Amino acid sequence: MSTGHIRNFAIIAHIDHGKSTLADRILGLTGSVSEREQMDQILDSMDLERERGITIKAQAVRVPYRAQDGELYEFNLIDTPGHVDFTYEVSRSLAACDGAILVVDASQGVEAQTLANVYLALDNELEILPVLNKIDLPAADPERVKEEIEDIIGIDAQHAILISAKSGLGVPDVLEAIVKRLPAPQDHRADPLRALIFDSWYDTYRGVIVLVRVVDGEVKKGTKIHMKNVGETFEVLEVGVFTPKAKQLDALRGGDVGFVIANIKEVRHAQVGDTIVAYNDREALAPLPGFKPVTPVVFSGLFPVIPADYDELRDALGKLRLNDSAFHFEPETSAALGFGFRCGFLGLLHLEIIQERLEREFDMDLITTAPTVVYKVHTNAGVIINVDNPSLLPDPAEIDHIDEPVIKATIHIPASYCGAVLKLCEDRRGVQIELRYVGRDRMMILYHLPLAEVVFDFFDRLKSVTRGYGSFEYEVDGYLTSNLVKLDVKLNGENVDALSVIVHRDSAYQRGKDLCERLRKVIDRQQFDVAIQAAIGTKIISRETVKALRKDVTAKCYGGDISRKRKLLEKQKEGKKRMKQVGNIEVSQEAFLAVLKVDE
Amino acid sequence: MSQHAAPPEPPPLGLYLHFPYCARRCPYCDFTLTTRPIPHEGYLEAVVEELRARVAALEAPRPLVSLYLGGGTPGLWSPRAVGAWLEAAAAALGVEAGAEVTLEANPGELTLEQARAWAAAGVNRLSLGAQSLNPARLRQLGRLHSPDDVRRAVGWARTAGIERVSLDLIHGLAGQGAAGALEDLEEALALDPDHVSLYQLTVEPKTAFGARARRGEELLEPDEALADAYEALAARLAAAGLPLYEVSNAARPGREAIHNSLYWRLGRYLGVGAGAHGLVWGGAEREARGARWQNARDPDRYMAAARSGDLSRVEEERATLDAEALCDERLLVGLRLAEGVRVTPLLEERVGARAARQVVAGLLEVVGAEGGERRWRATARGRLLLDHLTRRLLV
Repeated sequence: MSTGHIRNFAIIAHIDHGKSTLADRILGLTGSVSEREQMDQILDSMDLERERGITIKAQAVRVPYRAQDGELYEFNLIDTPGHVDFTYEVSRSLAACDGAILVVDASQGVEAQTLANVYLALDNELEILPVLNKIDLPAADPERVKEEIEDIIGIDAQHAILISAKSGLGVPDVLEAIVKRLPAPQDHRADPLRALIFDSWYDTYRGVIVLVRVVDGEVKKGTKIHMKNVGETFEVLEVGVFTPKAKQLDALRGGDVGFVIANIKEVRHAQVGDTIVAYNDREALAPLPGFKPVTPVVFSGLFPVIPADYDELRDALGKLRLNDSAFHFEPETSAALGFGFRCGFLGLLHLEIIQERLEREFDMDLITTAPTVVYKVHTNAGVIINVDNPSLLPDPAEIDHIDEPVIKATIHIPASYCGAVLKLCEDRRGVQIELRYVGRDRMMILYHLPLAEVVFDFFDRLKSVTRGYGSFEYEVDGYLTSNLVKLDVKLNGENVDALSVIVHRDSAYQRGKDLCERLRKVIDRQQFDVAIQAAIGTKIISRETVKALRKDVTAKCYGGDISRKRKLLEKQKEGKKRMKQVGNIEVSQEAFLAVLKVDE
Repeated sequence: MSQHAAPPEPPPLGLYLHFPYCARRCPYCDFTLTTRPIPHEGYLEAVVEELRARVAALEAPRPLVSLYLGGGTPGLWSPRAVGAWLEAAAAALGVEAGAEVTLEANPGELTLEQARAWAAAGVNRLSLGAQSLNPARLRQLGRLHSPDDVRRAVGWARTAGIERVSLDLIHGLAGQGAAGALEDLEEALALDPDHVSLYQLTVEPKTAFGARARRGEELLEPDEALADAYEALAARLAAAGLPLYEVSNAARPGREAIHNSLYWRLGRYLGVGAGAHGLVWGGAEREARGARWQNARDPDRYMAAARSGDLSRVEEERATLDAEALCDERLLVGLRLAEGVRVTPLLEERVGARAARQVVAGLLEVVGAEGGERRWRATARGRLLLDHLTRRLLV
C-alpha cells in the first residue's frame, strides 16, 4: 500500500478517560476483531496491566479501513505505556507515529496524566486530533473543555470530535478524521533501510519479537540487519503485522509499522530506540535520533525467603532478563539474608512489576532490600567508586565525598496546588530551576531533585497533594555532591547488612528511629534482651529493646498434648528454614519483609 | 555395649480410660467431651470391647502400674460401671502391687456414698478439679461448685478411705496477680493434699475463652506477672513439702502421680475410650519402634466402632514412631520433669551439641557422675522457658 494510505497514530488519554474503550471500538468498527474475540480491553494483554490499570507494554495493531472516499486505508494503532518510569519508552512509541488522538473526558476536562504525554507527542512533532469522550453524560461540558485544551495545551480544539466510545456515538467520525486530519508518513521507500525499534519482547518459540516503524527503505525475510547502536547483526526470518493476530508479510516498507523476527535471543539486543539498518550500510548510515541506552537507576537486593530456592530464582531472573533489557541482575551475598541477587530497575514501579512477576508467574517467595540509587564515592585516594549497595560503601574514613544522582523534574499542576508542590519539592531537598504559568491557571515547575528522594514515593505524594492533577516527568541530570551517610542497623551489636541504607544526614535520625521501631515490633522475644540500634559509623543514634522472654512453657503435657507438641515442632522445623541468624538472634524472613516494605 | 546384651525390659504399662461426658463445658476446656446423656452401660460395653482388642494386639504385656479414669467427668459414671471397668482391666492385664488407681471428679458433683463405692471398687487416688478456692475466680472460670464443695469433697474422699487426693488449680487469669494465686494455693494446702496440679490458664482457640481473646479481651496476666506468680508458687510449694516434680505438678516425695509420670518418662499407656490417646513402644534404643494413636472423638461413633472390635475403625489417627522419633519424644517430655532425662548414646548423638549450647546459655544443666548415668535437666530459668529450650534442642 502506498504511504498516502497509511496512518500511524497513538491514543493519548488520562486513565479512565476512555482510551481502551475507543481502541476496542476502532478494532470493532474496522472488523478486525469479531464479537467473540472482543475482550473488554484488548490492548492491555497482561494480567498485571489489567489489574494495575496501566499499560506497561507498547503494542501495535494494524487495521484496514474503507473510508467514505471509497479508498482502503491502513491504520496502525500504537499503544503507549503510561507511567513516569517509562517516559523514554513512551517517547519512542510516539516517535513511531505521525499523529495522535487526544481523548479528553468531556465532563472532567484535561487532567494531569494526559499532559506529559501530549508534550512528548508535540516534541515528536505529531499532529494532534482532539476528541471529547463521554459527551452523553449529563455533566459533559464540551465548550469548557475545548477552551481548556486550547488554554493548557495550546492546540486548536474548535474542531474536536464529540463521541461516546461506550455507545459508539461519533466513533465513525473519528475514523474519517484519522484519514483526513492526520498526516500520512513521508515516502522514503527508495532510501536505504532505517527502522525505529519502539518495542521488543521475548517469545519462547520465536525469540525476540521486535516492533518497528520503518522510516526509510524496506525490510524483508532474508535481510541481514544491523542494530546501529547496540552493534549486533541478525538475519530476518519473518516480518509481519498484528491484526491483532500475527500475520506474515513479504516486506515492511517505509511508513509501515510491524514486527520483525530475526532469531534474536535477548531483548537487550533489540533495544527500544535503536535503529535497524541493512548490514551493508552499517557504517554509512546515521542512526535515527533519540536513542538512549537504558540504564537502571534503582537497585535492590532480591533474596529467596527459602535459601534452597536460589537456583530457581536465578533461572526466573534469567527468563525475565530475556524479555526486559532495562532489568539487570548479578549475584549478591548478604551476611543476614544469604545468597541472592543485586538487581537494577528503571524505577520503583519497574521494581514492583518484576517482583510481582517473580511471585506470580514463578511462584517465588522474596525478600527485597530497600531500593537505592547509584552513588559516586570519591575516596581520599582520588578513586571514584560506583556504589549501588549500601553495605559496600567504603569505610567513612576513606571517603572524601559522595555524589548522588539528581534529576530534572518537570511538574505541571493547576496553579492552586503550587504551594503544596513547592513544599513537597523542598522537603525532598529540591532546588528550584524555574516556575511559570502555562495557560490561564496552570503552572509548570522545574526542579532539581536527588533521585533517591524521588524513587520512593514522590509521584504518589505529588498525586496526593494535587488530588491527581499534577503531572510529572523526569530525566536523570548528572550528579551532585551531598552530605550523605550510611545508616547501619545492629542487633545486639551485630550489623544487619541487609538493612543498611545511605541517607542524607538530615534525615538519618528519623530514618534510624523508624527502622528501630519497626524492628522492635517484628523481632520475637528471646531468652535475653535484644538491643536494636541504628548507627552512623560508631555513633548510635537510636535504640530500642526487645525485652527478654521470661515465661514460655506449655502448662499441660499429657498423652494427647504430646502428639500436638510433636506436630508443632515439625511445623517449626519447616519454619526454621525461613529463619536467618543474625549473631545470636534468629530473625524470621517475615520480620525482614515487614521492615523492608516500602510503605513510608 | 555387648552384642548379646539381654533384651531390654519392656517399658511399664498404664491404662487410661477417657470418659467423654460432662454436665457442661467449661469456657477454657477443649478436651474431647460431650454434654449428651450418659449411656452408662453402653459406654462400659464399648470400652471393655476395645480393651480386649488392645490387649490382644499388645506386644510384651505386663501388669498395670496405673489405671486412670480421666475425662470429661468420670465421676459422673455410675460406680457400678467404674467397678466393672476396673475388674475387666485387672482380668485382662493384671495389676501390680501398689498400682495407682485414679479417678477424676468435680467437687460439686460428688457424694460420700459415691466416694465409698469408688473406694470399694479399688480407686485409691482422687483427682479433684478444684481450679480455685476463691468464689469470684470460680465464677470467672465458669465453674458451678463453691470453695466449700472442694473442702467437703476432700473430707469425703478421706472418710471413704481414699487417702491420696490431688487438687487441680488454675492461675494466671488477668487481675489475679501473684498474691491472688498464692492465696488460692494457701487455701488448697490447708486441705493437706499430697499432690497439686497447678496449671497456668491456657487460652485454647476453640473455646469460649478463645473466642473472647480473639475479640481482644485480655484474659491472661502479662508475661512478667505470670513468671513472678509461677516462681512464687513454686517456692511456696517447696516450702510446704510438695516440691514441683514437673512443670505444673507438685507432690510430697513418693506421692508423685505414677500415671502421669508414664507420659513424662515415656512409659506405655493404652488409651481406651472416645478421643483417648495411647502410646506403645519397645525395643533397644536404636531399634526401638512404637506407635501413637488417638481414638475417634465423637462418643457415638466411637461406641459403634469399639463394639465392632476393629481397632482400625476405633482409631482416628495413628502414627508410627521410629527410634529417632522416640528418642526426641523422650527428651521433649522428660525435660518437664525435675529429675530430667537420661542421656543415652542416641540422645547424645542427636542433640548433644545443641544441649551444650543451652548449658552455656544457662537453660540446661548436666547432672550425674563421670562414667555413671548422666541426666540433662532444665535449670530454674530453663523450666520457665521450656518451650523455647525444646525448640532450640529439637528444631
